[in-house]
Amino acid sequence: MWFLLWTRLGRRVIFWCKLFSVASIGHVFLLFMILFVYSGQKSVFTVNINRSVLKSGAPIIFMPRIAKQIATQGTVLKKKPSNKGRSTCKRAVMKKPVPKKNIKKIVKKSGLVKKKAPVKKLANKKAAPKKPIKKPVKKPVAQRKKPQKRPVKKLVKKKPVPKKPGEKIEKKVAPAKQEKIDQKDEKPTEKKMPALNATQETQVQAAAEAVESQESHPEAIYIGQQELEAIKVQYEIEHEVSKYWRPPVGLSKELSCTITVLVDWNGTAKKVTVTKTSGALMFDIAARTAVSKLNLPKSVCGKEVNVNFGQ
Amino acid sequence: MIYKNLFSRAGYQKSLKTVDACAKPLVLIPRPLGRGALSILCVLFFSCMHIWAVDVSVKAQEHDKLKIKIILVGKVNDNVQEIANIIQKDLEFSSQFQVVREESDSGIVRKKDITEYFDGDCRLGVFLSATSRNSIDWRLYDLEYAQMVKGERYKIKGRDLHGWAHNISDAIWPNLTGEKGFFSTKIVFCKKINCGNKSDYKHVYVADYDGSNERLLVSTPTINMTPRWNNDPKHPLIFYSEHTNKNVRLMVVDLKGRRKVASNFDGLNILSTFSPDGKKFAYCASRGNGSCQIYFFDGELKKLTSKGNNISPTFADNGNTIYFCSDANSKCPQIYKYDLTQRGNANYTPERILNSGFEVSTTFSTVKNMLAYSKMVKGTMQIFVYNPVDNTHKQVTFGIGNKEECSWSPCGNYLLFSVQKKSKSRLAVLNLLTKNMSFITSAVDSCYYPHWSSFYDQFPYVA
Repeated sequence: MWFLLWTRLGRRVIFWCKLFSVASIGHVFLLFMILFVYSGQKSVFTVNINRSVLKSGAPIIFMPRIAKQIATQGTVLKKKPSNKGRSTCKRAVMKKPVPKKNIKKIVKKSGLVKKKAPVKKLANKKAAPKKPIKKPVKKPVAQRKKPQKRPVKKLVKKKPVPKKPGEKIEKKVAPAKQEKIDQKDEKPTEKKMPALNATQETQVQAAAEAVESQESHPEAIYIGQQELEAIKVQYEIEHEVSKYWRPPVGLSKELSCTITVLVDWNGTAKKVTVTKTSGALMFDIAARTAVSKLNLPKSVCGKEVNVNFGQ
Repeated sequence: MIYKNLFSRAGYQKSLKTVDACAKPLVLIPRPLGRGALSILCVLFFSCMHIWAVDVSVKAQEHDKLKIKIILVGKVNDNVQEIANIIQKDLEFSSQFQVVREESDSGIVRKKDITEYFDGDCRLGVFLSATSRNSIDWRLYDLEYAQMVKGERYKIKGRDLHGWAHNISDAIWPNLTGEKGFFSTKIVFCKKINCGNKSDYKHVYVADYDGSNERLLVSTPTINMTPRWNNDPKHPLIFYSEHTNKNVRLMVVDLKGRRKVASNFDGLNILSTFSPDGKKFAYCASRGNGSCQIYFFDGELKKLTSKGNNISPTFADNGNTIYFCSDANSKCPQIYKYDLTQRGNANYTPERILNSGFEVSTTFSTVKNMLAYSKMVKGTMQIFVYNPVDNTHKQVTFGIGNKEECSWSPCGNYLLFSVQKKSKSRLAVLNLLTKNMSFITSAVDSCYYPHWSSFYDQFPYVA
């Protein structure tokens, strides 16, 4: 019947039918992706993290959001103001470490301090580095600092911070450490900066520390928000699995099996498949028993979890 | 472009935009639009599904027993009941399983009948059924999927149900653990017999690995001591020493009780030991000169030591090394290592392993590659384990009572030894995995010199 219809239809109609069908399939596909695949947190698991790298002993630096934005500002000052959002934290911090006093000014000016910016909040998803950075390229201090002088001045002049009656004026805004680094950049305008409150201080310090630690640890591992979230979920799952993972004693320490769990919407195991057997049935059975008791976090609902059980 | 962006790390938002943005160029493609696009979308979908897999690696912090069911099917006779009891004991002996017994009057026909026995914790089941009077079926099932792992039918010959039951346990064990079952192995020991006014005799007994099913093997009216199994997998023999009026001679006996003299030199002929392949042999003999020396036999009998008293030889490294105790360089016995490849070297002196303390009764496990021995700690003999690889010594027994004459299980997970308190001596097994010690002989009997056999092809019935 369909075949007969098909042959009688005009080419133009067929074309529109095809167009309609493709569009509808595309929409169904997208809807499916939205409803079933992306329903959890946004693309947390698209990032593949080798956690053994984290255990290498190198210092781990969580890129705070505040540091990111400051760093972004730092680059913006030099280059295009329109690239604010896109410029990466990593790049910015690595290439243009901003002097501490400048950071404070920018933070104050941009009003970022008002937001809740915990130290662990991380950089832009896109900007977050996938792998540890071995040796960030260091540029001589003199070269880096020169171009930043002007924009800082301008910013301060354009929008001077209004003085409140009760506010104290501090001559030295930055702590002693920071001062040492940025002695050359000190200017009279900076001295007029009003004192920051306690939360502002901590935020600024966190941002400054992130930048500073980058300089002091060339082999540091940088972790962005996306990676951090992925690690968090991994830890959650590990914690949950390890609660129930109790194999019998006396089995070889080299035994390991991998089980793939399809998690349903309640966080329990919907389908359990032994993808790699250990060779000892009791080990596999113990692993299956552990998996069947799991109550996994919502972020992995409707998704597959590969659990590698070891002794 | 589309696919690249979909797989990119930008997340959903970006991929959505990209697909929408590229809708127009897709439409302009003239021919393979219907099927091609559909297949591409399918590929994309499944690829994306794959991206969502999370890899987690977990290591065990605690251990627990695994539940297993023994289900008796159909009409249950006494034989099946007894066999089920023995299998239960075997599985529970390891401290790895918690056995639950169930019975089913009706036969099991469908898969559903099997899955009915599955509950959340118990996923394994051993079904036992007596098909006829002298045959028994056993089947190991994964209860969740009603999948048979292994099964066999046995025809029972003879009366030794213990042997058959241990055989079934041995057949089940490798499927469960991936290791060879040791339930058919036996132990030999000497038991003190009270004879009224006369001096006490010691008879040689053979029992199952857990001390049950005890059988008298040698009941000569004398003191028998230090029985040792040979390592010939086809012909199990026991070498032991018996006191005579002239000397202490080395005897050999098979499991039917037929005895022969193995070594009858003057003085002591004791503590025989075999290499893992059963082809080399060593023992201690004094030959009437007052000091006990180690003799080695590999087709020709040779004297290995000459100074002091040397006792408790045990083979290691596939029979290329002998560990023994000697007081040649000190007042008390200490452990030495003799490299048999240096046997022709006249200047070779054995290497001393420990130079402090009182150490006796060495025994080596080829499975674990470890040496166990007894050492005096604050006046009490305790069992120690020595690892030749990292050269470490570890105490494994504690508490009161002298622990002596230790012997390894063939799997290397257990140590058998005698615990002497006052005038009584009991045999005990130490589980090295759980560190639990359990007595396997009664408190009434006095048992000495235990020795655990190695794996044998078939254990004949002890007459």
